[in-house]
Amino acid sequence: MWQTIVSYIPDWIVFVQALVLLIVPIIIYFTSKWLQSALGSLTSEGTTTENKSEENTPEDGKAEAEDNAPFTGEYVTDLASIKNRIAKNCDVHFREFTMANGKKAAIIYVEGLYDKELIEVQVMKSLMFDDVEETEKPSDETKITKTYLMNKMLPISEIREALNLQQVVSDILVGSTAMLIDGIVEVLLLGSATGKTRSIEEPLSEGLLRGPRIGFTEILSDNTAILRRHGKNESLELIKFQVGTRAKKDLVVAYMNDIVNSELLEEVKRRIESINMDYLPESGYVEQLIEDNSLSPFQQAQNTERPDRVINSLLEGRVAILLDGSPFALIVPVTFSMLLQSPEDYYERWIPGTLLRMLRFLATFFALFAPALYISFISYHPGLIPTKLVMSIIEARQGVPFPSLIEALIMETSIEILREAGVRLPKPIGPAMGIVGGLIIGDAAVNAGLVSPFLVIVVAVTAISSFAIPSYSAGITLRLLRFLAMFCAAVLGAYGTVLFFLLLFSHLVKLKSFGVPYISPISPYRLDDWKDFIFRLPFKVMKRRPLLMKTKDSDRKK
Amino acid sequence: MDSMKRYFVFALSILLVLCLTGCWGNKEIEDLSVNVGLALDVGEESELEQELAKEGDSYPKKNLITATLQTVPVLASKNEQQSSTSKSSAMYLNTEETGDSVFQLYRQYSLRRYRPIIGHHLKVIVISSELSRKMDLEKLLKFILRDNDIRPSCLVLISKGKASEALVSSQTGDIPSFHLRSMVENQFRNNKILAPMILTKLDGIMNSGSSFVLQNLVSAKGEVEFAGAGVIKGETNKWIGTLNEHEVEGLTWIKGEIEGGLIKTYDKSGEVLAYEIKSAKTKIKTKVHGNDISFHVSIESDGRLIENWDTSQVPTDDKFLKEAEGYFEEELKEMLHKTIHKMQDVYHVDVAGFGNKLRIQHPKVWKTVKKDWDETFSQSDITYDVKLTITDYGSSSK
Repeated sequence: MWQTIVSYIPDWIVFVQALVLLIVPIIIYFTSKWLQSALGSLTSEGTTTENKSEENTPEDGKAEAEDNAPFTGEYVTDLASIKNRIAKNCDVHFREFTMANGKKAAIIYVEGLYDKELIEVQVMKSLMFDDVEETEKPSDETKITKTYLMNKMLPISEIREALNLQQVVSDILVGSTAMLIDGIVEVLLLGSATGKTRSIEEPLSEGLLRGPRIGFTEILSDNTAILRRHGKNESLELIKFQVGTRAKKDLVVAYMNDIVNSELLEEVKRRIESINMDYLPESGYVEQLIEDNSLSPFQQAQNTERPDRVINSLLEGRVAILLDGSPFALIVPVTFSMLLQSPEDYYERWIPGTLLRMLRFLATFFALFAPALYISFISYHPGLIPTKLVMSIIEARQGVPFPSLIEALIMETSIEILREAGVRLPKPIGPAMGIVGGLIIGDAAVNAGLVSPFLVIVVAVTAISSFAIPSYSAGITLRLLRFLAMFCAAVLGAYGTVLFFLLLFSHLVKLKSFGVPYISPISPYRLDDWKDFIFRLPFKVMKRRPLLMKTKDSDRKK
Repeated sequence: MDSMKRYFVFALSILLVLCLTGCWGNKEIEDLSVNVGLALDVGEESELEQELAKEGDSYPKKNLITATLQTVPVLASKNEQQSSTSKSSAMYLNTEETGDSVFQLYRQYSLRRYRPIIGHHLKVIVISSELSRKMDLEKLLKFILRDNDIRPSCLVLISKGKASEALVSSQTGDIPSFHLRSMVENQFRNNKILAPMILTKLDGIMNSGSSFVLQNLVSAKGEVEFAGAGVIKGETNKWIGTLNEHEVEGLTWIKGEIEGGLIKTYDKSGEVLAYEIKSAKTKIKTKVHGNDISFHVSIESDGRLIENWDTSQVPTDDKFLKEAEGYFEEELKEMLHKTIHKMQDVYHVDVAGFGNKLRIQHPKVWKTVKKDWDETFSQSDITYDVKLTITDYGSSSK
C-alpha cells in the first residue's frame, strides 16, 4: 500500500519545476507591479504638490500680490506697470495716442497675433476721429465712462475687461489687444488672437476614398466648430479645461450628455484634472498622462484627425478629448477592434464593409506573425510545408549563411529603417526611396546570398499588411510586437509563437481603457456587440449602441 | 534612487536569464534532406556496400532487408545549375542500406550523408513482393507506423520486381516518389487503379486481421507501371499472389470504387466496342440461411458508347445500343466471374470487402464466422447481376 503510493510520488526534479513555475509568475507579477508604481509615481499628484510648496519662495509671493492688485486708473502708472512686466518682449508693442476728446490712451498688442483690421478700423478710428453725433455726446467731456465707451464708441463684439495686471498680461500674450484709457480703472481687452492658421484640409494620416474630406486643424475653436457643425444636436456638450502648469492650454472634452455613461465622464474629467505637466504640446501627452497602463504596448486612447470618426464615437457613448494646438483628437475608451475599423466600413455597403474588415483582421495577423511563422517553419517544422515547397525552399536557401532568425532580423530591420526614413524624406524623394529600398535592397540581398527570396516575400507581405491597419499608432505597436514574436519563434518554434500569442492575449484580456475591457466583444463575451466587430452587419440589424459602453440611451432608433 | 538601481539590475538579470536558455531542437531547413520515398527489398548488399564493408563498415546485423531511401533535393553547385540544362542530372538521390532494423537503416543514412533525413514528407513506400512473401508486413512497417514524423497519408505499394527499381526514373526532372503518388490520383481515368492504400488504413486492416490488396507495380527501363494488385493474406500479413489487371478491374467494380474508366469488349464480328463509365453503383446484399452465407452483387452503371469499330452499325439505332449493352454486360460478368474465382478458389481470401458487408448487415453472424472468414468466404455462394445503360454516344452518331 505504502509502496504503491510512494511509487506515484514524482522525482524531486518535478517539484523543482513546479516551484519554478510558481515563482516565475510571481516574480513577473511583482516586477510589473513595481514598474507600474515606479512609472505611476512620476505623474502622481502627491510628490509634485510637495515640490510646488517648496518652490514657492517669499519673493514669488510678493510678485503674486503685485499681480493681483487692481489698476489704479492712473494712465501713467498703469502703463508703466504693464510695461515693466512685458515691455522687454520684442513682439509686444505699445501704441499711445490721444483720443478725440483729448484723453490719452494706449493700445498694447502682440505682433502677429492681434486682429490688425479690427483694431485699426473699429477701435482707433472711432476713438481718434470723434464722429459720434453731437446730441449723443456726454455733456461733460471728462466723463467718458467704460459703459459709454462700450455702448457707443466701440463697435466690437468681443470685449472683456480686466482689473488686475496678471489677467491683462496673460491675455495680451495670447493675442488679445489691451486698451488703456486715462481715467478708466478697467483695462479693456479687445478681440482675440488671429494668428496665421492652417486651412482645413483632408487628414493626412487617415485618408479615405469615400467620406468627408475634412480634418481637424491646430485651432481648438475651429475643431469644436467642426464638431458643432455635424448637425443640430443639443446633446453635444463641450466642456473646457485648462491643462499645463506653466503654459496653460485649453482642452475640450466632448460628449453627448444624454448618451454617455456618467461614471465614464467623471473618470475622464478626474484624470484630466489630475494632469500635472508644465506644458502639453500635443494630444499624445494627454493620452500618455491619462492612460491606465503605461507598460502596455497598446494605446489606450484612439487618436484621430477625422471629425466624422469622433462624432460616430460620441454617438456610441464615447468621450472625445481635443487639445488646442493639436489636430489629433483622442477618443476614449478604446477597444482593440476600433483600431482596425475605418469609417469607410460604415460608408460602404455592409457586404464590402465586412469583407474589408475581415481583410484587415487578416492583415493584422500577418503583420504580427508572418515572420515568426516563417522562422518557425524554416527552423523547426519542415513537415508543415508542402513537399514541393520544401524542396524549392531548401534549394533557394542553400547559399544563405545565416539561420532564419538572423536572416529575418536583417530584412525586417532594414524595412523598418526604410520606413522610418521614408517618413522624414521630402515628398518628391519618398517614392524613389521606396523603389531604391524595396526593390534594389531586396533584390541585391537575394543575389548576394544574404537572404532567401522567400523571406523577401514574407517581409514584403508583412510590410504591406501593416500598412493596411488604419491606425498608425496601432501599426507601430504591431511592428514592435512582431519582433518579440520573431524571437519567441526562434527559441521554441511554432510552440513559442503560440505561447507568445497566449501571452499577448492574456495581457489584452486584462487591459482596460477607462474601465472598458480592451478586447471587449470577445471577452467579456457580448454577442450583441459582435454585430459591429469582425463583421459589419446592415444598419437595420444594428439598432443599439455598443453594450460595452453602458450608455444612458441604448437605442439608436426611435 | 539606490533601491531603483537595485530593482533595475534585478529586472535586467531576469532578462538575461531568458537569453541564456538559447535555442534547442531547431534545425534549419536547408541542412536537412527530405525523405520522399522508401523501397524495401530482400536483403542483398549492393556493390558499394560490399566495398564499404571491406573497408571496415561493419556492425552486427542480418542482411534481411535492403532499404532504398529516396531523398530530395539534390543540390547542384551554382555553376552547375547555370550550365546544367543540357546535362541530365537526377533530381533525387537514392541511398541503399542493408540490414535488419528499418530504424537502424534510417540512422545508418547519417553515416553516409551529411544532411540528416526527415520523414515528414515521405510519400511512397514500395515493398517488393519477394520480401513481403518472406516477411510479415507488420514487422516491416512497425517503425514506419510508429514514427511521429511520418505522415499517415503515406502510400503503400507492392512491386513485382525489385522495389528499388520503382524508385528510379529515366525521365529528367521526374521524382519517382511524386510520380507514383500522383499516379494514384488517376483513378477517375482508369478503373485498374485501386483506391490508395495509405498507412492509417493499412494499420487498421492489419490489426483487424483481414486480407487485402495493394496496388502492384512493374518496372522496366526506368519506367514504372501500375499492373494488377498484390494479395496479402490477413492471417500472416504475407504476400500470396497477384491479381492481374483484368481482375483488378473486376475488383474495383465489386468494391464500388469506380470513379471512371472503361469497359472494352468485342462484338460478334470481333470488332472493338468501348464503354466509357459515367457512373457506377454497386450493392452487395448478404443472405444468411443457417450456416450458408451467400452474397448478391448488383451493379448498375450509366455510360457512353465511345468507340465502335463496326461502321455499319449506327448508334442512333436503339436496337444496336441494346445489343452493345449486352456485350458490355457479358464482359463485365466475365470479369466478375474471374475475379471471384481467383479470390474464392485460387487464393481463398476475401479482398473485396464482403466480410465488411456481412459485419454491417448481420453483425451477429459475423461474430461467429470472423475468426476463419477467408475460408468461410471461399465456400460462400456469390451471385451477381449487372445492368449497364448506354445513355448517349458522344457528339457524333457516325
